[in-house]
Amino acid sequence: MEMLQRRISVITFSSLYFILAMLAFFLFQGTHLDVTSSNFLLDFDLAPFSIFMGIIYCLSLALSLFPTREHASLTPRFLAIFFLGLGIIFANNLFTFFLFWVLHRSIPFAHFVKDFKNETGRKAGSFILMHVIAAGLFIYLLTQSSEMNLMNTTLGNYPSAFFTMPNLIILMILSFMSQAVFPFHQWGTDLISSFTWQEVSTFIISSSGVILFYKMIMPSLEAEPVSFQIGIMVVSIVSSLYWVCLGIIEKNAHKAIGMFYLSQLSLIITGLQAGVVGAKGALLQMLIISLSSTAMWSITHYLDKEFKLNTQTSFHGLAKYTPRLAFVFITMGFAVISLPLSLGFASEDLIIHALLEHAHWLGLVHILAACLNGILIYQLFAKLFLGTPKVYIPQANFDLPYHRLLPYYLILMFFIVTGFFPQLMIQILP
Amino acid sequence: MNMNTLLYLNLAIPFAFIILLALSFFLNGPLREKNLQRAWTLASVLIAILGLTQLGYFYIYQIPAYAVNLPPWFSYRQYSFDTVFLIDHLSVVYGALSAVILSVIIKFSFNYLYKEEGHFRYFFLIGLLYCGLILVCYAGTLDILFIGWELVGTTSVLLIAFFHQNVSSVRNSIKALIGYRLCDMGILAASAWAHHHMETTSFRGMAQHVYELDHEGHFYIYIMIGLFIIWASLAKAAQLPFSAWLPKAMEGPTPSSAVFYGALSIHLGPFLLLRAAPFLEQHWSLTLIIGLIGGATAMYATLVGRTRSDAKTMLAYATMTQLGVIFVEISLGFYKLALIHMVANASLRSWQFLRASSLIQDFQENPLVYQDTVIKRQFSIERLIPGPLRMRLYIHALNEFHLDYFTTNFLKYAFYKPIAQFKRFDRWLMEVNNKIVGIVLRK
Repeated sequence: MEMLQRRISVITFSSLYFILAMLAFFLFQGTHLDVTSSNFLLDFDLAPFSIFMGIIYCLSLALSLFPTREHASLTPRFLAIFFLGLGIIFANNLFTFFLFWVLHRSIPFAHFVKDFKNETGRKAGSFILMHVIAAGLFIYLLTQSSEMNLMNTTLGNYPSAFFTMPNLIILMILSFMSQAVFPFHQWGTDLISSFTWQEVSTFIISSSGVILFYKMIMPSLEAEPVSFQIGIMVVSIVSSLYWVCLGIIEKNAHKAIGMFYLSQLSLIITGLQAGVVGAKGALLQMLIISLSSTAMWSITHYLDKEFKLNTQTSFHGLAKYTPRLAFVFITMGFAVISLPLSLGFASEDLIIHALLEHAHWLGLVHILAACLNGILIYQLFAKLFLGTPKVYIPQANFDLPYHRLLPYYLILMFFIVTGFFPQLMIQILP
Repeated sequence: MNMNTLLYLNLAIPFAFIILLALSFFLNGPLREKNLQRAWTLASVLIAILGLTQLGYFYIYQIPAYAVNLPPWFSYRQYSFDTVFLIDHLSVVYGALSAVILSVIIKFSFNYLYKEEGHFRYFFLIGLLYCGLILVCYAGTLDILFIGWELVGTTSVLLIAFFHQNVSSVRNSIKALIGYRLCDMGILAASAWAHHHMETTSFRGMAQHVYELDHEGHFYIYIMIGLFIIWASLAKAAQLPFSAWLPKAMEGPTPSSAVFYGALSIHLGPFLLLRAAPFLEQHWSLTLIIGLIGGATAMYATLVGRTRSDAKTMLAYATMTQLGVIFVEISLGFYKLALIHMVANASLRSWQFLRASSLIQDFQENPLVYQDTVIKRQFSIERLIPGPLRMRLYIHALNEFHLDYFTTNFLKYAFYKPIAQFKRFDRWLMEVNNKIVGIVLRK
């Protein structure tokens, strides 16, 4: 009964939030709601962006729960990660951002510290160490902004005097660290190995690094030297390459999808740095990868649960038993890797062209990363769904029933329709 | 009705048909085989009539080549994705060829895949292939061409893995995908660079900008774009060093092998070179590279093909040889000859591929077989090679000149090993972090 109540409350909350967010998105697009109060600030100076991210976040949650009936995963820990993630998305000054960020991270942090003391527990020193350093850097920045009387300033309105080179570098490190961008990536592996996929998905899709970058760093970057901007792009592209290569040789399917997602997020940070056109492409890509990766993650988890198969060391041939899920998996994957006539193509096209405006050699590396992502996704698909099934299962069809596949189909339709008419999405997005 | 209307119909019908198939799948599941056959019969007849009408119209009325400019597909700020289609000899001839061969293949597939599991998937992918082909044929810009190019590549990979319970088919589809993706990078890079440096990706516009690039001292950009285009053409046409995947791609159904690796998809490599010929021919180094690659592939494929023992693989190598020769023709500037060669080769190979599965029956029905007629080869070119060298060549050809071995090792040493090393380093670093945190927590 308690479980049922919890489910109902979450579902009701998500639906309400979604409707409100959609309304707000269309009503307040391009307007400013200046509600300044104390140091705690959750107002919407950047309302369209926050709401856009919030919608993606809630849709991803819904997608992770409903088709595969993962209600049992609605543990208090998962719900806490989810709601604190929402706080990060809507935070609009440094203090509020820091507050939600610390609370959000404290959940895995506490888990890992407890594990550390336990002899059999997983040792996740990288997560602990990096987050302690990140928290220290955040506190340093807060002291700086307090000295300059900027505690009430919204993230997008920090004066240029604040962005001295050391501060900017610290902010970049924080943004990259929050997003597991290379070389601050190791905590990502710790998290993917220890938490449930829903928690990891929620943790990553809250995209704290991307949000910090978009709201605070991006407006100030244009004033910085070109070499600095290119340096940052290089780091994020290398990170993308690193994660995708790791994903290609990864044996565990869940982890491979996590790595694929982190690789794509690094590409998004690259796109955000490449001017307005790149940022538009990056936001489109953000929408696609959040929904697609969640769908792929949930499908993998369902297969894992039904067939007890989680590795991609050999071919499992599950397409024989789950043809529709195989279809959904590969089309979602192709949508992310910019298959023409899906929305991913338009977003990737915008990013690449914007990137070339800034540094054409980097554009080539970006193309390489996108190409490797394609190989990773197809390999993952082939290992899970193609080949000879290892065990004979008398029940021929393990596919989800039609009504539970509907959310996947709707998202696929959305990707394809907007892929044919990308201008619609380009105009709607903040 | 004029050329533009025919072009729009040519583009719209395959896409509309594919969308209808997809919608019917979403609403009712796969169509029943009889209904699918009826729908495809109608569509293929329409496609063939349209292709041939366009060809006839173009030559009867002696229409000069021209570009059809449509509003941009999407745009944002200073960037726009231009939609330009080209009507010329190349597009019209290849479009008609695609339409006719596809119709024949579809007719053949009805019987070949009768009651076969996955027939809907097959026909859907073939339809998607045609959409891709038609886009490539009429593309006036590299951007549009890339869309078709990717669709053809994706359908090709999925059809290699058509018999998905066969592990070797799946492995080969992954290999083909790796080759395709690596070479598709070329076309994307060429398009992006052309857009950035020449502010156009239209084939006509690019050729006109070469002089400006030279004048501004950016000639290397021209060379780079040219190299990207050549690079892109290599995997599709199975030219060296991307030849290893082609014989292995024969794992798919025979009609799909015919349409992809005998007829249409495989000839997209030279098609791209012909399309970009006005751009590529402006410096001898690029044409020389095309010629050298084509010549080397023709030599390699003819030698290896002679040592193969199964019909489909022999045909694959024969196709590869001819493609090498077409590359040489393009490098020498014989564009019309290359186009005629492409059409002839595509038609012959598709026929040969389709007959390959009934080769034994054909042989038994041959009136010469049960007579005392002895068919003697009068002259063999191999005899011109000295004996020991011939033996050595034979052994190397039997091993396909270790091309697969070199490619695999290249991937292993250039990709897997460094990544594995890096992963090891990462683990070591994590251990260090664990030790540091362990010490602090214990204190």
